[in-house]
Amino acid sequence: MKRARLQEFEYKCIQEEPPWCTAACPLHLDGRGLCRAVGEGKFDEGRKIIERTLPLPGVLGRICDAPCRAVCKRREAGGSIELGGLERACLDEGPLRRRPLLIPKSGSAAAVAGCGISSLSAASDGAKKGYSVTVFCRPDNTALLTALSPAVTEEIAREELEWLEKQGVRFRPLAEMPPLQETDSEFSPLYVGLDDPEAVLLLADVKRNFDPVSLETAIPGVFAGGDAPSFIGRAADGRRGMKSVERYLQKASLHSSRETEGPFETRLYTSLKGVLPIPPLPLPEGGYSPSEAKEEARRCLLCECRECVKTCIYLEEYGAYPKAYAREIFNNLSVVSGTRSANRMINSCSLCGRCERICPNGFSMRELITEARGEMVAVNKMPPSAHDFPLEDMAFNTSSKAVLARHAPGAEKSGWAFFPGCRLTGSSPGHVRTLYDFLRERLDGGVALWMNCCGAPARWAAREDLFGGNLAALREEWAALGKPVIIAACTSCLEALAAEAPEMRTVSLWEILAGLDLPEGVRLPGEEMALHDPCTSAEMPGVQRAVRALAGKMGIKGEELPLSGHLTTCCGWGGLQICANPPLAEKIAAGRGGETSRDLLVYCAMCRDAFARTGKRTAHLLDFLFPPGESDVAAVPHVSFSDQRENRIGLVRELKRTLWKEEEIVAEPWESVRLVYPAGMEEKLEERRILASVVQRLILHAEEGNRKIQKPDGTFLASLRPASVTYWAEYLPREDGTFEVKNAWSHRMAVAGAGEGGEP
Amino acid sequence: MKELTASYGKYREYLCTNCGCPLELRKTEITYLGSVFTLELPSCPSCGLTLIPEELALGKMYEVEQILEDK
Ligand code: SF4
Ligand code: SF4
Ligand code: SF4
Ligand SMILES: [Zn+2]
Repeated sequence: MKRARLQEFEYKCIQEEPPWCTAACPLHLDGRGLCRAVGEGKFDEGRKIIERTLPLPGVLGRICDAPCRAVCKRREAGGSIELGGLERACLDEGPLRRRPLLIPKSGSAAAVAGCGISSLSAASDGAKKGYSVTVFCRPDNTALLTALSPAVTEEIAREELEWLEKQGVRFRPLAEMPPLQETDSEFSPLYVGLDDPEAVLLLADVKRNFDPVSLETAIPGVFAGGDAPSFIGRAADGRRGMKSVERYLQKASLHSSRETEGPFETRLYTSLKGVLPIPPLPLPEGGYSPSEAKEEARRCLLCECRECVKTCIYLEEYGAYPKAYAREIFNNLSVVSGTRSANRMINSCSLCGRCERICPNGFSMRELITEARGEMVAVNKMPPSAHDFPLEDMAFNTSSKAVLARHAPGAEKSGWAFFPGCRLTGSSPGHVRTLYDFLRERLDGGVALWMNCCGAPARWAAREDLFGGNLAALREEWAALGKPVIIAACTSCLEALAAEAPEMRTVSLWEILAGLDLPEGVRLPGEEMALHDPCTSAEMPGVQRAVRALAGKMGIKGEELPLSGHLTTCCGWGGLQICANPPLAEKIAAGRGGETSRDLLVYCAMCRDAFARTGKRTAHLLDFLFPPGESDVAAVPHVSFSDQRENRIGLVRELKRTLWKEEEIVAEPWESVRLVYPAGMEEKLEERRILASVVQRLILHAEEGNRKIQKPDGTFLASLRPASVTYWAEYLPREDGTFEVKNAWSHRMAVAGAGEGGEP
Repeated sequence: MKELTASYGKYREYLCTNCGCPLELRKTEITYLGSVFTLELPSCPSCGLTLIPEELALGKMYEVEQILEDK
């Protein structure tokens, strides 16, 4: 990834932008941090924040006129936070730390004229920069501070000046100041505080159009400011002036990149959804008590964005937000030698796209992650374990055993081609057959059956090579069928085909079904259900409407989940999340299921299996449109990967035999290996992603070649390496000719003497 | 992975069905993503048939696979 590309992503996520209060504060006090601290009763933390940011903290913290109130986000929900009052409460609660400066003297000298808050702020900042600062002013140098407010007592003002003196700031009578033109000698550059009338006199002869950015007067090296009515504004001028002094000494530009030095507009976004309006706690003349301050601070929204994170368990899982993830991914991709620690994070996004629809700036993790995966594949750094299983499954689903493309029996052309997709075929082969019969009966123009894989797994795995190869094959089959309109049951197929092969016209099965009269024997669920839209339907409003229309026509009442339709989320299958990070996928599916106490109604076979896997009662719309034997369809468990594969093989054979009267393909020899399992073993194999067909081949190989190891208890151990994974099974041949599978495991490392002879 | 092989004594009672030999600990080559290791593993002294026990495959071996995949 190019750095410029990273920056494009970074710019879009505004989570790190300052909150409104901080941006509006002329000195950029961390108001959010202050509220957090005070809200937790940590007044010392609050004082640290004040001391870190404000010059003359003991004074300014008591008299700040809080211009932030004009823009505080809380303003829209009850009233702005009384940040000024909170600062004062922190100061009233205990002493400042008054740490001595540990900055080495820079060797430069700077002069300040006047002893108002503006001049003294400049002096304080100058000392912090390591300058030898001399302040020229009247002898009673606390007078202007105590005049600001009764809250600033002589004692408080004295403390500030003593601290300044301790840091080496020298005070000298104004009369000793060399004439302005000569300041260039010992005491140049100079800041003149215009909130001290005596200092103002110094500039009596100087033209009054000061440069607003640098505050430079007509005399080079002489800066002036501090005549604003706002106390904090005067202090900010002092700070700006001392910054100019610094640049002047460094002979740097007085103007460049100073846009965010003063108040600016933040780009932050904070949602007020669900925020109840609470009015401010009135600020008493003598300031808030500690408990009052705490109460007021707790009204603070602790402004941030995180809109996408709030609705995505994946984003939440890794503890940060897209801007930080973009940096992490960039670094991960830049690793030359060392550990690429973000690999799993990159492979765990479901690519559902909800974040880009929720983000105020349209930040797309899908785009970022897709690019990252593509790069990993291109440089051969994609961890094989992340996607091997689904890609092997795809290879099978595009093999002759699972592919079928035929005109309707007896027909020679087709206006339509029913494309059920791999998941429905595997999970519910009976419905594929029923649908195909139904569509042929109801549609004119001939309906072909086209069983193949759209290539979505390869697309999600960023395997352009595999996707492209598959697409070429699809194009050929489609052309051979006479370029019919494709009726796709799965929105993932629709999405992949529409994006990558728009010339192949597609329509959703649901749009077709919604336009036809209902079949006989439609069943109704016992109770109202909650409708979940698959993530790949989010940008297909037509499909979502058709499903609702169809369900309505059937008489099914469906509750809408709070985030549905355009803002729906993934069941955990998308983006191959379930393969790269099974526990996270399950957490996400369970989270979605937990959003409602009702049974889920879905119209995607992947969703149905993913939710059922977590134990959530889930039914497919087809279960009601074409009811199967079971009466409680929502209670049917998910279909294992092994069974899905067998279902596909079985369906292709059955259709060939019954519809096209093609002689049955010879079964593979390993299919005669009959397996039996003790309780729980099938679930273990499913979890370990070991297919029954692999165990069958493994046993056949071991038995035929006598390549096995016998344990003292008589069971056998054998292995097989069909491609890049070595599978092991522990089994016992039984008298009835079956094999009891006692255990199975796998590893990816290639070991000499283990896992030989696996023909694909 | 060395410490694991210490507990492999029990595999001396396992037999290669083809050769009839009990398994012995023998140096065996293991490769993954271009990295090559040798490890003492239970295998048949006659034909070389090697056993990767479940605890090794799902334990240490899995960990090393994951580490190598992120390199
Ligand atoms: S709500 Fe809190 S964080 Fe947000 S702008 Fe107001 S004070 Fe700052
Ligand atoms: S899972 Fe979906 S919402 Fe979450 S980051 Fe990925 S694309 Fe965005
Ligand atoms: S929604 Fe997410 S990506 Fe968008 S700005 Fe907010 S935190 Fe960043
Ligand atoms: Zn042997």
